[in-house]
Amino acid sequence: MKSNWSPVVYGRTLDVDFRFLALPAGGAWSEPYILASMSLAEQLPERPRWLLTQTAEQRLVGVTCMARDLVGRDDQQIRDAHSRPLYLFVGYLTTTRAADGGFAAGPAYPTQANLPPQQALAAFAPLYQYVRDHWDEQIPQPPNQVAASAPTFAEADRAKTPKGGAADEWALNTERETRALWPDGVRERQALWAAAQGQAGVVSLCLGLARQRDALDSPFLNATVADVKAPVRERLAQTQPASQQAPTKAAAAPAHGRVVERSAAGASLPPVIAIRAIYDGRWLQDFVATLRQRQLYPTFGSQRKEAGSTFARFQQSGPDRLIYMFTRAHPSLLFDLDTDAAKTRMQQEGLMEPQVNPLDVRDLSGGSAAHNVADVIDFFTLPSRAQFTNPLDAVRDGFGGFVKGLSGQSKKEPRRDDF
Amino acid sequence: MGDIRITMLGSQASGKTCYMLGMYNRMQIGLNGFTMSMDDLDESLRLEQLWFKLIEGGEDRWPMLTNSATTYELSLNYGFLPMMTFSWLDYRGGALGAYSSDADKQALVQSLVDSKCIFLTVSGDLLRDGLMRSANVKQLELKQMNSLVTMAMQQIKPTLERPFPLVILITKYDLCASRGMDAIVNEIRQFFTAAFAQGKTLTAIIPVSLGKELADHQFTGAIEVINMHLPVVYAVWSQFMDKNTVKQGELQSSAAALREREAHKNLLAFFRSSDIVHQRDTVRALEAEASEIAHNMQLLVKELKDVQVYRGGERVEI
Repeated sequence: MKSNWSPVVYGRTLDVDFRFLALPAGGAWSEPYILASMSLAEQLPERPRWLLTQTAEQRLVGVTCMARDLVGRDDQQIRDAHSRPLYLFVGYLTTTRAADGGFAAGPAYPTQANLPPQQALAAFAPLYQYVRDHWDEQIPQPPNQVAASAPTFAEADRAKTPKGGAADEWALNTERETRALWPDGVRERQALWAAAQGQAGVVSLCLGLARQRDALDSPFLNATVADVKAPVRERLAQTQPASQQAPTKAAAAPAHGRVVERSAAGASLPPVIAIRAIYDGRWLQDFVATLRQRQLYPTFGSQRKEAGSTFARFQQSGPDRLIYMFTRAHPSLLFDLDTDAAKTRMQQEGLMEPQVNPLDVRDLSGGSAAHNVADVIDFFTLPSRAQFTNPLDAVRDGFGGFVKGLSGQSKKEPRRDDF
Repeated sequence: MGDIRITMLGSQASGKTCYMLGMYNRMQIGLNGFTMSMDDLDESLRLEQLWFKLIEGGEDRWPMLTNSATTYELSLNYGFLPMMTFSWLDYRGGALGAYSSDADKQALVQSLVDSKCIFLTVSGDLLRDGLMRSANVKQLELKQMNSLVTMAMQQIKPTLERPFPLVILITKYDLCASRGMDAIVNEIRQFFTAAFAQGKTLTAIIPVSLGKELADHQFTGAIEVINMHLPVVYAVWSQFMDKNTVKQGELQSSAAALREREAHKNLLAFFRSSDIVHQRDTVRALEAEASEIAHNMQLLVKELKDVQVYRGGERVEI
């Protein structure tokens, strides 16, 4: 079978920061994977990270490595203008399917252990030309879009498993809420790469991440990790029943958030996820990282500051759903969202600045008011805002329902989903 | 999340990550009773390892290019007791000039408007030949820095009573030290006019360096940190100063309310006695808080005696 591959290169050049230097149309989905493969970059020298990730339509194979491990230490274009050693991602993307429905196989993982990096990465070395093409840029130019061609890869190693290993041992995880991690040994690398090459459905694999925490924070469903001693499968979050979560601020701040589905199944309109949170900086980072893993990109809509807490609002900019992060600093908001009395109380108690509307319902209809942030409470998937004739109803339904749920008065037990 | 957030604005290779490394590792050892710590022991260890690599020297001594944003949660301690915690964002310098859709730019903007102190980083590398060179101005990303600070100030809304603290941080000072501090300060004031234009900002100019030998020996020069602690000490001091302003205001109004109640107590003595007791307690509590703030400020200001601070274009003593 003739396979067609397009180059994907992400790196920096002499003067200009990291960016795509080669990227085929429709390949931008790969960026979170590439960025995750660059975590703890100080561990990259002589330890290239191989990655294979695929959607239903495209397969990306490549390596994140030091430029010198790819093209040699004597190359003149492996350091930036400040003498800092460069690292980058180089890879290929294909849409070609084999006769059995699987994707065309990419470069094989070296069968010989301890091969010098430059030899091990030989299949990717020609891609460094795209770095050279952009090398002298002062103003970044768009990435090269090169027509797919058929590079001369080595024979693919799909569907092979090493001696002494049962197929189950290398079964790749395909659940998005789970991360399957293996020790970063040669045997594991070879077997998992072969297994991934033979995978037809959605899958992702990174060989050689440095720390377990980086793997868990990454979008990769499978990884070999330097500090993992034995294979392990980790669920990303623990589900916590609503009944066990107290509504008070003091009892809030769970280790992980929950998504409570409230929208009607099969609703034709995009759901609104309203997230109310009392702000815990570290948790929020994790949460944002998780959103990114799901390829949901929150934008920072607006924020403000006030004594003791921070206002923030996230609004996801994707086409299929809207994400809002609502926050509060006072329980009265849950009951008196639209009353001046609630705002006045908060002002009197020093919980908000007088000019700030704490939970302006305009936000549900695309407004730009800011909100108090103080602690993690819960997430909600609300019906589309468009399903409410009055935006205030949306707020009452979602937030009021939440309050009832917490106090045991909810008529319907919400369906929970790990986050 | 820390008590305050500090954001360092700086272009590519301006020394943001190196400053973070130098500052943290110097302060981990401690200086005049002050230490710095991090709850995340893994990250702390990682910064320590990067620091050792930097001290060892060699072609790979400098930290790898930063390609994504990371927030560190740090604590400034005095005598092992936390004085103030702060969040610190490290990010790739290219984010400064990136489009607003860029995730790192968004993280930077978010951090900035949430900040209690902003560091504007100028690399000594650019000051060596003078910022007048157009290539240096471009590399400094001065326009981007000005735009971002302006945007932050619109949100923060500093006042004459509560000025916003800025630090103009000259990294790699070893590279431009031969010009002398006066010449450097004059040039900084010409290029960062907004930071000196009115009394709503309190601007410190602080030169820092990882070692004098590095100017001539990038890969082999000895690491000998200079002034690394000062920017953070200044940021924390300014936060206490702001708290002090607020607290003094509260104290004055509470004391006035107490005086008023006491002046009228004969008329409604029976009804108001508990009210007066409560008000006295409030005043005492505020006095205790103000006293603690003043104590912390005294500790910190000793470290800052040589720092040049400007307000409305005039140098001020702190």
